[in-house]
Amino acid sequence: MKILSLDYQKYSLHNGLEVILYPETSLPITVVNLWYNVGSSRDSKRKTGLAHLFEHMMFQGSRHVKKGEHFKFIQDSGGTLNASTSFDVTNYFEKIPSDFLETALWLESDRMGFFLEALTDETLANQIEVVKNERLERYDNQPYGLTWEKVFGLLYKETHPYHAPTIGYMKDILSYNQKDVGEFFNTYYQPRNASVVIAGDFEIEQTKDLIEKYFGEMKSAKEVSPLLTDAKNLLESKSEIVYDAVSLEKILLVWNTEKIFHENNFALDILSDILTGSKNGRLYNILVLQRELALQVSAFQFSGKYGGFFCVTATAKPGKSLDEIKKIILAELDHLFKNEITSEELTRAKNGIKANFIYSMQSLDSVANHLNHYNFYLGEPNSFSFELSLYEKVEKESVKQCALYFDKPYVDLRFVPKEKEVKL
Amino acid sequence: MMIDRATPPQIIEHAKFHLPEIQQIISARGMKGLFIQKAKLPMVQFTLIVSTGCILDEEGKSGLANLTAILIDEGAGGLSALELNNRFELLGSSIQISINHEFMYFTILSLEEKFEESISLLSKILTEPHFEQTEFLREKSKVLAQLLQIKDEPDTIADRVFEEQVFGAHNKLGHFNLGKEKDIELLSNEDVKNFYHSFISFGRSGFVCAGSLNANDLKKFIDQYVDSFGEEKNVANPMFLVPAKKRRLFYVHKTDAQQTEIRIGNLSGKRSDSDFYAKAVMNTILGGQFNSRINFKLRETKGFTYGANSYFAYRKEIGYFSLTTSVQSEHTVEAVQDIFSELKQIKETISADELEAAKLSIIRRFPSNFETYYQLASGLNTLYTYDLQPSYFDEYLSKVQAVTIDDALTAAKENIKEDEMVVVLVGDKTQFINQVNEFGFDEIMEMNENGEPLISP
Repeated sequence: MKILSLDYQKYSLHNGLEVILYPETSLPITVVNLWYNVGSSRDSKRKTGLAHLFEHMMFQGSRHVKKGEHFKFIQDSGGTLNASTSFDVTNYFEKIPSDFLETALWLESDRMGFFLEALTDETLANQIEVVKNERLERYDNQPYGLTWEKVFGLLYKETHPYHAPTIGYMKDILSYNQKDVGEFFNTYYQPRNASVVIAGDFEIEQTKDLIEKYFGEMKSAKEVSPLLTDAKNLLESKSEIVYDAVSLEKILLVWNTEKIFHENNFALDILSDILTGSKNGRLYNILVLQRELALQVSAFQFSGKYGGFFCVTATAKPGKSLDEIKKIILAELDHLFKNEITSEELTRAKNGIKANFIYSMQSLDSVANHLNHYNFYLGEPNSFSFELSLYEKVEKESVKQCALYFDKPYVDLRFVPKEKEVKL
Repeated sequence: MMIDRATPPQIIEHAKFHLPEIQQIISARGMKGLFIQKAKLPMVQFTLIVSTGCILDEEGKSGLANLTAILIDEGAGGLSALELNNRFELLGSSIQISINHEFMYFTILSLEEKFEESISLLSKILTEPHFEQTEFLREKSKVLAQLLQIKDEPDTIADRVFEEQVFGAHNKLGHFNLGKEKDIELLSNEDVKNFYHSFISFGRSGFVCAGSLNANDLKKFIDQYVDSFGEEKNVANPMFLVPAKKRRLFYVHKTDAQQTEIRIGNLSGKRSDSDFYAKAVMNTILGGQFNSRINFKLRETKGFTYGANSYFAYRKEIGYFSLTTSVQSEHTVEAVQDIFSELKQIKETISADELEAAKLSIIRRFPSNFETYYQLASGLNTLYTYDLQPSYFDEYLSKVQAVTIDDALTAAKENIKEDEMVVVLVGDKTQFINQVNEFGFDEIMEMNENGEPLISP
């Protein structure tokens, strides 16, 4: 499809920084999207959450940019900005009026090259408090807030890069010091470990000059060694009940699947749509509509560089049994794999996916982030059509073949109101 | 080559932005709509807007409008709920139905080639909803379960209590749209049908659309599919009573909560008031963005919170100012003091640099509000909802540019009212209850998780 094929340029600076340029001039807006090849998968066992804390520190100033100024420069220019940390990568972006591209490049390059000189005990202590609050607000003080920490903790052994939550455990968050932050920066924040996408309204040659001007003088330190993982799947099923400040019980069933862009992932995505994609999803239909056991049910496939899983989760209506819900989920999966999937189910899923690909091209931030995503995982930024074609290739049989993941050990995690806890 | 990094790049601004053309479309039977044609992608974002909202819930029937919005697409025009949903999904289109205090929205997102089929399905929903008893009972029980779930969410409780109290307990503009448990229990399917027949009709409707199709085709589809539905009834909108001018604190106790959700604000003017631009500039300085005074103090200086922000929200004829944050429990009192001090300060001093930075930020960000089809349709929805002139966007930049320091200070003085301030705290009361008396509230009231007073006033 033509609109999914983007005209872009990709090259590397001599220091290894990858550059992807995608001109799109319909509005006077430009996006700078910078990915560092480091996520929480690199956090050490006793310093969980460091990659994420570091992302916060990147906004605390660098040699030529004072604390608070990064935000101020971008916001005064009418731009927006943010950052995020995942298991695999850390992502920073600015979306600015196109005249301000140079400002964004100056800011990003200053913190890539000259971060350490602005690092102080005071800024570190402040951001430790902010991250502590982030953890309280988004996880500890939220109903079901510990869901993913628990899932990853059960599904992956302590030695697996996805075992600990990206935000980190509270005791680790409180323990970071300047040395931790400095070493982390020196190891991972270097040009050869990053890729920058410029998308939007800009002039190509002029922008290449600007990128050379701001990033060309940076030196790359020694190469980041590959992450040696012990990414084994579960050997036996595990279960846990979390007694939480919740009123409704919730269950999550989680199976190991594949790493990102494995061919089976596309069938697994379609499987999730067939199960819970809409009112017509099989599990939605039976659990929410027919039997009225659940308030909601959803299924999805997650995958990253070092692992993947398929999750089915349901929130029980008051007084309904999680055991019964689980029994139905397992029976429906079994039925699906042993019987026919309808053509309509497959068409519905594929049409929705195709339309979503088109809708996702509306926003420049989303396009820029996809270019970095495809570049990071596939080495080819312009993979929109390729990815869509992998969904289009999925047939009924390929969905049924996913059965192989579901007769293996799995995680059964439940959230139950703490009033129900029986203390021995 | 070493470069001078100490000096920020000198920027020369020359980018030109051309506002998209806004077309007014009037259907054959007189329904009004606004449209922006954008050819970039072959898609359509369309919303039919019905002037029907939760303020129309009668006394004792709270939650009825919301339940009607949930049920209206649970089967229509001879298609069951599942068949209807299946049709949309096969098209790769989606329909979303939502409701707030004053409006009900039917939003279609579709590829251009599937838009006619999608809007023809919407026609069935509007004209022939089934409202079957089975669906009614199921969805009602889901709403009741949802209410239970919400009691566990401190942020939702804080939002709910704040809105209810800032508008006053007897003003439906602040009512919680899901409704009260005891009212919902008593609702019947007949109530839903009556609500539909009374309040969902062509005469109360308009539309906004951004898409790759042309205006003639859009008008043709409107005329053919949504230009006539429902029965016209003249129903007067309810009267709104505003609360007495008092400084009030409401708190909800959550044992051992590690954070306190804070909401602080008061009623203020309506969206079409002439000080809208001065308020926008003032709020950008106060709490509208990351570097604003309040977030900078509470997060970046003190480390009390993950974030704090302030904003103006609007109903059709009134608005409110609100500040929202969540802080570590032990810092609750100091955070509230800091917020009060910032609210006082913004009425006293705004520097020329702050004013200029805020204005430039708003002005330069303007083009990025017109990027996605969703944003275009939202912009049109703002014009439609608040009955703003079509020239609104043309004049926007010059009106922001014209705001002076005096205008911004006046906007702060007139719209942030300490003697009418409503403060809501949801958290561990032992962390703040002894100190709040010192803040000089006219009323302090403990509420339960449903937003009801624990002790009668």
